[in-house]
Amino acid sequence: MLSPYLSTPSVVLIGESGVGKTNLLSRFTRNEFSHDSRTTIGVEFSTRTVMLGTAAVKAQIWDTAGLERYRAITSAYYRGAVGALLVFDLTKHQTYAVVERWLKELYDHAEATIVVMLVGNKSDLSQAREVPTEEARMFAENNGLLFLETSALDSTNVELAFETVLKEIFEKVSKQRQNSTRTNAITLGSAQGGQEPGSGEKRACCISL
Amino acid sequence: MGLVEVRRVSQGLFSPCLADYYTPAMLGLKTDQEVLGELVRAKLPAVGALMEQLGVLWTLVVSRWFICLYVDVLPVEVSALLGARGGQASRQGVTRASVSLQTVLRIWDCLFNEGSKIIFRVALTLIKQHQEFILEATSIPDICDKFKQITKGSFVMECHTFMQRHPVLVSEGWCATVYITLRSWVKAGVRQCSVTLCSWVKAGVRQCSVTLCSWVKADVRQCSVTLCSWVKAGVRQCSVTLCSWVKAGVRQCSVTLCSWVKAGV
Repeated sequence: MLSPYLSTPSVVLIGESGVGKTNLLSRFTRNEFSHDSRTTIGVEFSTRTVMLGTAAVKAQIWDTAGLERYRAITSAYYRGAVGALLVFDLTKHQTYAVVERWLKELYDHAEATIVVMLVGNKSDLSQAREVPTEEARMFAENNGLLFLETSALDSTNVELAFETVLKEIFEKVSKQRQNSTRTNAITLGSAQGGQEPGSGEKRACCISL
Repeated sequence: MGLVEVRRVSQGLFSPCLADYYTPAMLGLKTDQEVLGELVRAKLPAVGALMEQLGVLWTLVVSRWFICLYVDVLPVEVSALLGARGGQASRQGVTRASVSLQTVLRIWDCLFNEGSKIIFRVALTLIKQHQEFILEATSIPDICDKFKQITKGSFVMECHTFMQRHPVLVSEGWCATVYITLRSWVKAGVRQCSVTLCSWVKAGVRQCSVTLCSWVKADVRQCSVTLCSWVKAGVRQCSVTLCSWVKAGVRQCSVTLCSWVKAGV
């Protein structure tokens, strides 16, 4: 039986502007793709229920603006997240070069236990590729991240990416629960479904007092 | 355009609060969203209660409205309809259809003329007009969806009716007090504890905000832990006592307070 915390994990999509975060989300939640989607302003939000084994998990996905100027708003949403997809555009090396900065920003605000997947998007544009798969995979391995290459345009690996992250979260929490007598949902989940960034953190602190 | 008009327009557009919308910390924007939250709580309590119950941050639903000043949110352009320029058409009494689609321009006229309070009026009007519809929401995705839908439809097309139907704002003095308090809280990052703070505000503990801010600056996490545990323990009723403690600078005692609270003192 899943606790309410576990059954609504929240996942953030982060990465440079224009790498395809919004389209990854719309492909995953509505099976839609837009060729002329506009830049995201602030944060958008979507949910989708996925089956993990026998359990139905309603994932809340926060699509954040990639533009630097919205950082003040978007970083607030990292806090409640238990998973993150750090997206870069594999046809633009610059979006991969700043991955490390994004990672730092994420860890600055989120729980240390957050599950992170590095996602190289736009794999359909193989002729324009600027980031070799192996290079990104090595980076992911060295930093303890999951890694996948996706295409929101032709749907390649989109489902797999989100489901892998959710599965990893699920396993991590189950494992922690076995290891501890305390309710681990407190450290990983967020009581109001990620709406109150930092609530998980505060609770954890309350307990350690 | 005369000098007076120029000054008016620039005051409207570049007033200090609006200018702070687009700085790295987006302090003006965050504050205004909290102010809207307070306004909704005061003017449309049912919606305010629902937002609180579902734990929706105002940032999530109104960021785009405020940042874009309703461009790309409400209808902008009319020319496609009759090829007539809206302003002239209305003056010449041309058919209503030709002047009804430029809500954003109408809002901007008011914004230039009256200043940034128009942003709140528009938001309140939208929310008030669709109150029943919004109250049907039972989850966060619902809310997001509703707030997107209320910017569409015939109501927002009829810009003149729309601009005339704004609910009366509460006194400017109230707004100013709330604005200053909220701004200092937002700046210090205290808003995480919004539930506690809200109840304090309601109980009239507002004057403590300066102390709170300094606490928070000194150690945000410790403060929020304390606040959190207070809230959990339902210490709200004691807010008057708390207020006097806060005034006396009980920060160092917060751990003690915490244990007191836990022990049910």
